[in-house]
Amino acid sequence: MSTNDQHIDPTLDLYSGAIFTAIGLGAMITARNYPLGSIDRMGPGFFPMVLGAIIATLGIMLIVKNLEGFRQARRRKHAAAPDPEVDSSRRVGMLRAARSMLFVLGGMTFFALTIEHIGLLLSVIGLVIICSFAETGMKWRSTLLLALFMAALSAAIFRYGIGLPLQLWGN
Amino acid sequence: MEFIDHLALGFGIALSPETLMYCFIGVTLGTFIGVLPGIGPLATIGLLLPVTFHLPPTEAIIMIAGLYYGAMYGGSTTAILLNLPGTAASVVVALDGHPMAQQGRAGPALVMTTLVSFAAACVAIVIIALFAPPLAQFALRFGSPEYFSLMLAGLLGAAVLVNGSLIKGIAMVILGLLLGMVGQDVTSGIPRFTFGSMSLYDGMGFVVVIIGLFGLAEVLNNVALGEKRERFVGKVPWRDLVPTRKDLRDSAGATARGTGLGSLLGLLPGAGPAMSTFAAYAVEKKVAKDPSRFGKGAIEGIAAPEAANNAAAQTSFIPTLSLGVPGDATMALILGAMMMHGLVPGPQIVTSSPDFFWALIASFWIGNLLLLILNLPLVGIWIKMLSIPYRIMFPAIVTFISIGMYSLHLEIFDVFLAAGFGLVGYLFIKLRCEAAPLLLGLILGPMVEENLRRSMLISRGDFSIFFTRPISLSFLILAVFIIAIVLGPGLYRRWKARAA
Repeated sequence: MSTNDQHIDPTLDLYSGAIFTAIGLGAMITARNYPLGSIDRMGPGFFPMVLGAIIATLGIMLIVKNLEGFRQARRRKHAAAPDPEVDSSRRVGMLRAARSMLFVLGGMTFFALTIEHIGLLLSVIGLVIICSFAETGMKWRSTLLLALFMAALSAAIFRYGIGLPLQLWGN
Repeated sequence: MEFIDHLALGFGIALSPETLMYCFIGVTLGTFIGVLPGIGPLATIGLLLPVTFHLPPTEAIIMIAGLYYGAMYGGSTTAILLNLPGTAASVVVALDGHPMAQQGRAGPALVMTTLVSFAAACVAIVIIALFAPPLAQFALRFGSPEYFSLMLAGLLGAAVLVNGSLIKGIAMVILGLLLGMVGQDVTSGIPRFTFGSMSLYDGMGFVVVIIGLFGLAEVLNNVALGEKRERFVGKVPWRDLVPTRKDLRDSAGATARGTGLGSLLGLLPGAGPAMSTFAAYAVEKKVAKDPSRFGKGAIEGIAAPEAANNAAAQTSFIPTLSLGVPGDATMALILGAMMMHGLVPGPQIVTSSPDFFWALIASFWIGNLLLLILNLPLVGIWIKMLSIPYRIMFPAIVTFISIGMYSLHLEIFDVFLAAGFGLVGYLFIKLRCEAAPLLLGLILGPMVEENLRRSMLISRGDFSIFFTRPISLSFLILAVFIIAIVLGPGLYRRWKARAA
C-alpha cells in the first residue's frame, strides 16, 4: 500500500521523477501544436496540456523529494571500498538483461518483418529459435522441437481454429 | 420477484450448450495461463482476447469473464505454491497460503480457495441481480459532471492502491490518460500525438499496450533474472487434497465475513478486489482469538481474502456494467473488450440488451461452478504446469504474443508497438512503477476528457459545477474518503509519533 514507501530505493524514484518530468514537458511541447481553446470551449490541446503539466509537476516533486536520499546513497557508495564481487555480479545482471531484450525483441522483429513474406510456419520457427538464444545454455534439439511444435500449434489455432487469413507458406 | 425472472432469462441463455462451452473454454484456458508465474489476469485476458474477437458478442464476453475467474484462480495457485503473487489481490492469499504449502498442506489450501470462491459467488450473484438494475436506473440521471467526478474517484482509487509512493501512482494514472489522447480528437478531428503515423490514427490499441506492459515486460524480466527465478519443486500428494473437517469449520465464519466485506467494497469505483482482500485479512486478524497464527498458515487467512476477492470481483461488475466506469485495471480491460464488440456499457445496457446482461451475470455463477468441478480433479495438472522449464515456456509465450498482436488487424505495426511497450514495461518494473493504474487511465482517458469538456460547456467554464450538483459532490467526497482510508493510518501514526 502507499504508506510503506520507505523501502524503495530513492535512486529509482529519482529516475522515475526525471522520466515523468521529461514526458510531461514533451507532452506540453507537442500539445502546443493543437488549438488550446478556452476553458468553456476546450480545444484539442487543452486536456493534453493540463495532463502534461500535472505529470511534469509530479515528476519534479519526486525529484525534489528523493534528491537528499539519492545524494546519501551516492556518498555511501563512494565511501565504501569498491567491491569487485558486487560490481561483477551487477555486470552479469546487466549483460543478461541486454541479452534477454536483444533476442526476445529480435525474435518479434523477425516475425513482424517476415510474416507477410515467408508465411506463418517459417516465421514462427525463426521466432522461436531467435527467442531461445535469450537464455544461456540453449540446446538445439529441444529448441528445434519446440519451434516445430509451436509452428504446428499456431497454424492449428490461428489458421484453422479462428480462420485468420494467414499464409502458411508465403507466396 | 422480478429479479428471479431476470436470472431465469440469463440462465436460459448461459446454459445453452454453445455458451456453456465458451464459458468452459474461458475458465479452463484462464486457469491454464493464469497459473504460469508472472502472467496475471491482465496478461491472460489480453493474450486470449484476440481469439474472442471472432465470436458473437455475448459468447465473447462470457468467455472473457470465464478467463477472468480462471486467471484469478490460477493466480492464487501460483501465489500459494510459489509465493509469487501476480496481482495485488493475491498478495494477501500468499501470506498464509504459502506457509500452508510449505507445511505440506498445499492441497487443502488450493481446494479451500475454490470452495470459498464458489460460496462467495453464490452471494454475489444475488447482490448483482438485486442492485445493478436500480443503480442503472439511478445512473440515467447522471450528466457529464457526475461522470467526470465518478471517474476522478475511480482513477484516484487506482492510484492509491499502488505499492509504493502515491505520487508515482498518480503520475502513472495521468500518463495513462495522456496515452488515451493518442489518435484523432473526437470533437475537432485533429490527430493528436500521432507523429505523422497513420497507424496511430485510431488511437493505441489497449490490447497491444496491455500485452506489452504486462505480458512481454514480465517475460523480459524473467529471462533477465535467469537462475534467480523461483521454482516449485515440491509435490502435492493426492490423498492430502481434501480439507479436514476442522479446516471447513474454521473457515466458515471467515468466508461469510470476507464475502460481506468484498461485496460491499467491490461496489466502490477504484477500490475493487485488491482493497477488499487487504481489508478482509485485517478483519480476520482482529477477530481471531489467536492472531499470532496468521502468516504461519492459518486457514482463515486464505478463506476470508479469497472470499472477499471473489465477491468484490463480481460486484465490481455492477459499476462497470451499469455506470460504464470500471473499478480496476482488469475491469477496464473487460470494458474495453465490450466496446470492441459494440456493446456500450452504461445505464442503458440493462434495458437495451437484457439478454446479454443477464446471461453474463448467470455465467459468473456457472463459471465459478465450473471452476469448482474442474479444479478438484485438475489441481494436480495445474501444479505440473508450474514445473515446465521457463526455457520452453517463454518462446511459446512470445510466439502467442506476436501472432496475437498481428491477428488483431493484420498490422505489422501492432507487433512493433507491443515490443516497444514491452521495453517500456520492463523499465517500469525496474523503476518500481506499477503499470495497472496506467491502464485504467488509458481506457478512461477519452471519456474523462469528453465529460470534462461537456461540463465546462454547460457551466460556461465554472468549476463549481462539480461541487454544486449533489451526486457529483458525493463522488468527490468518496474520492477524498478513498485517499483518507489509505493514507489515514500512516499519517495518524506519523502525527502521533511527532506528538509523543
